[in-house]
Amino acid sequence: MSIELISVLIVLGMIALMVLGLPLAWSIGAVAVVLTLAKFDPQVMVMLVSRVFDMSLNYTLMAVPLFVLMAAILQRAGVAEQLFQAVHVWAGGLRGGLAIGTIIANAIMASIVGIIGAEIVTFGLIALPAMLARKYDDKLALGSIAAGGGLATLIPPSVVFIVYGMTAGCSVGELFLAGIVPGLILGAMFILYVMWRCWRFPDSAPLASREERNIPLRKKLVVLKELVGPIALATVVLGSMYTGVATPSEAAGVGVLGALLTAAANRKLNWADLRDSLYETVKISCMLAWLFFGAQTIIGGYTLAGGTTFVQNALTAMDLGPWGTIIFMQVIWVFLGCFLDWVGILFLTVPLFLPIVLKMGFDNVWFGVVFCMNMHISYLSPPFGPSVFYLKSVAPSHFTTTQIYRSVMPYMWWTFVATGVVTAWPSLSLWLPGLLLRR
Amino acid sequence: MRRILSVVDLLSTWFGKVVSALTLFVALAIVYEIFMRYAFVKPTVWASESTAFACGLVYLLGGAWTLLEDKHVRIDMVYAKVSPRGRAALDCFTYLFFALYIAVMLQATAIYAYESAALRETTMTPWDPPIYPMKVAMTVALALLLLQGTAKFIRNLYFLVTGKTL
Repeated sequence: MSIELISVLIVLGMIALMVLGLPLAWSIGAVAVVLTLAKFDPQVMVMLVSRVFDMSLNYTLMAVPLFVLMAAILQRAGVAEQLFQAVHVWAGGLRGGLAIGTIIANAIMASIVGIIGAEIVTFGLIALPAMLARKYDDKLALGSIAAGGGLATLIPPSVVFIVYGMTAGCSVGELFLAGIVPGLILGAMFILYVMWRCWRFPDSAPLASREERNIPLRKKLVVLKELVGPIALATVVLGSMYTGVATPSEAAGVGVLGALLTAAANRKLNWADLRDSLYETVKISCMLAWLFFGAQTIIGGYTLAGGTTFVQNALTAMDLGPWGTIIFMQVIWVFLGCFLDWVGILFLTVPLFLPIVLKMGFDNVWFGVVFCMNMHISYLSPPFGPSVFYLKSVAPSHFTTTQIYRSVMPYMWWTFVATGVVTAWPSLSLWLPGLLLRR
Repeated sequence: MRRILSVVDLLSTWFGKVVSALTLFVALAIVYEIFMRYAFVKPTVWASESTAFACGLVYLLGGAWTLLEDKHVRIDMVYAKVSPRGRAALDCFTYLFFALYIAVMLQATAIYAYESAALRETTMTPWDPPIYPMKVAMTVALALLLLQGTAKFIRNLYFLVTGKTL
């Protein structure tokens, strides 16, 4: 059987199983097993098992459960409430202030937690009722939460960057730094869009009540005091990594301790919450880990069958030129992003794309940021947009999935613009790591 | 039958909950290691490997619990739109592929773990802990997954045929 045919069968097989509702992790693995049994000696299975085993002991992967645990503890410690309260007090007087504030609070929260789900669920519970109660337009309220939550992929610490760094073999610390400027650009675009919308359609965001607009300065300053804890936590976690004191996994471990201390300071540290956080961490980590395991088997089998060389030759033979190839890869990412989540896309495409990209002289950290921007799109793009599902799970039940997709569409188009900008000017992502790490 | 199925559930849940404590251990071990390294310039020999082992156990042995709680992500374009009975039918069909994957992995892992255990294989690092127990754990994890998946399959099949939950 030719490698072309095998490649087509693999893709079709995986899509078929996924559409029938088999979880991604098993769909990928099942296809890998069929490929291996059909084409190779059974002994090859043992080699695939050893790949999975090595993956389970991967040192960088350790950062994932730790950052998940940190987010789970902080989510229960009321940190997001404090943040939202603060931006509410400070920005609530502006027209659309709550929507803008939600995006800002999301960005700050993103610098503490690295997973989108935790952000959207928390802000969906806090910011959405607050905006709806003040008669904000549904679209504005839903969109600002789903889009703002996505900033967690770009602003460090980000689980997407950890896994990319692991796969691409580049420094997670550099990736984290590289994501900051693109993350801020994206956040700024969202905020400007909200401001424009509120100016164009004043009814979509009524002005705050008189009391809310005239909060005495003293009270405003008191709220800031509550932010000291979360900001100190972000500084310690990120700072320990950039000063070289700790690896990303170690920084995540310190972050867990910091989260526990924050919870204690808020008087919200108790056994039941801690236990629930630990349980949640196991389930999320296992969900991700078994996807990684499945990906290891299919990549192992496909490489052995000559697939990697085939894809590389095929891409080279298309002769699109360096930039054409990069754009083509992004088209594939956006397309896959409609159906798959970032883990699947990362494991299926990055090992195939990266050697070509490096050979053309591009930077692998920059490529990681470009990947991350595309995954931001995939979080919002229908029919499979995880951000929308997270928000749907906590929004009042009369909001339909379609309605939420409609509200996030403008933000998705803005993300396309930002992705283009970050792709075209690599210095936007590489400037900060160059300044601080690549001396 | 119901008894056997609930024993399987219990086993998966128990393993999942036990390993959940390990994530907290990992965090504390890391903090301890950093503290020893900078305060006493005495880095531990055991921290990096034992934390990696602990995390490995979490991913492996928590898998069956995650399956029981239906937390492995799936695409629900079709899945969410069909009736509960249709969903059971889909699950029964796709179970065959799940079982194929896990059973083949289980068999290969058993060989992998057996060879390692026969040699009493260690990691060959300065701390040099035995590594074969981790490979045995992986075999146990796959067996648990297969059990839990099969328990789900039996429930789905029963529901598909009778329309009642088991």
